[in-house]
Amino acid sequence: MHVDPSNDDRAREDRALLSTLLVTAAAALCYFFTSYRMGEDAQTVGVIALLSLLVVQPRWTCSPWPWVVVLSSLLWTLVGRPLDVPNHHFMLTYVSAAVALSLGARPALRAETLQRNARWLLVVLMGFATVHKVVSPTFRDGSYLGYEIARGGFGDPVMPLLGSVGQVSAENDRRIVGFRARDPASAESVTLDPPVPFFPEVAVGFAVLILAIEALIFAGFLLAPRHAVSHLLLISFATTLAVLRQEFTFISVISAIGMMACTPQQRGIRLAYGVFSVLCAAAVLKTLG
Amino acid sequence: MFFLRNYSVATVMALVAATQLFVVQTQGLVSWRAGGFGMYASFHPRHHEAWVTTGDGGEPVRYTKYDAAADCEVYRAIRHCLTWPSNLRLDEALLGLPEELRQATRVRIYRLNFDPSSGVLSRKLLAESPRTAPSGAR
Repeated sequence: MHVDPSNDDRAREDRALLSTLLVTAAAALCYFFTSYRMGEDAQTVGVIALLSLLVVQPRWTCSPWPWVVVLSSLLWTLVGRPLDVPNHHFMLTYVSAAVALSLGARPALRAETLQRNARWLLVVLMGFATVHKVVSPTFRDGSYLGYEIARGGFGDPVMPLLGSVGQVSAENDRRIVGFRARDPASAESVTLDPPVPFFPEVAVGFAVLILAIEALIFAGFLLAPRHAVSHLLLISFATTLAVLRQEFTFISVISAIGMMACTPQQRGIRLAYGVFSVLCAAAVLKTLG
Repeated sequence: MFFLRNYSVATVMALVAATQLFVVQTQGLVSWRAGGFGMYASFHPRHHEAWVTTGDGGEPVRYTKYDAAADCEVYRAIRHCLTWPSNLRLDEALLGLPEELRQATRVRIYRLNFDPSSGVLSRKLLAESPRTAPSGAR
């Protein structure tokens, strides 16, 4: 049963959404500046100042201006290192622009504008992700995913539980390191052992599964953006990604966009996205030490 | 104003994504970068290698995208070619080197190539300068 939240509740939830997005943006920026050594000290001060907004004056997060600052910072990194910037950085740039524009709307229209922007960002993201995979020969024939499976590139947290699979992957990884250290003129190839039975079929099957899930999320947000099933698909995708591959910044960003796409009545789903997004942002910051 | 607030960002994003897809398909850009919509669609740039020989009879040295120890003049010049490898871009990158060093430098950029059926991992030549193989060898 849906219960319409009061205006106070809505304002509080809007602040929670925007705070989550700010935490995500701060984590992504910290990670990028540290990874690429771009003016770390000045940027760290900037990021701390950004986060202090949440503590000092939470309502300022509902002003477009902090978002213009976030957007400018993201654009600066895009221009500075265009071929190094990861995809979540691009996504955060679009999100910041969308939030800044939405917060400039009349208060009565803000929630709906945020939802509409989030919906279309997810549609474009998942649509193009699906097309890229469909047209990529190394994805379709399972060669890229097969390579990652063979070297244990997926499922780090669960790999020790898989016994012989983990041992084969570790041995394959050693062979890969040795092969890559040798001059291509003297080392033409190396043979890796299949970590699981029916390995070629598993690799192609995994590719088909990923394609199907991304296509379903695309269709869900295109055709039924408010339906709980669309959100459940996105949450399942993010959770699976967290287990298979610890892309915490990306997961934090898409969870925050999912949160933004919820209606005010979908409070449980919103909360789930928010908690997951903040946990992933915390995991990003933890990796920085 | 309604379009600007509600659809302009997604429209810009779709244009960037379409451009990236076109460049990936026609110009050899790695699908993970410059928009990043092709994450996990192909080998990551960390699976690309630049093998650099400087001087006659010198041993080739390997550089990769996240090689912390790689801080030489040649690597700095060609680093972006690991993300967007092409013969033309590699030639242009080497033009930035001093004449003497450029004449003595040979660069080959490979990516890994895997066949799940046989389990054979090999390399695929993406770009080289100066060229020894026909350009169609890419």
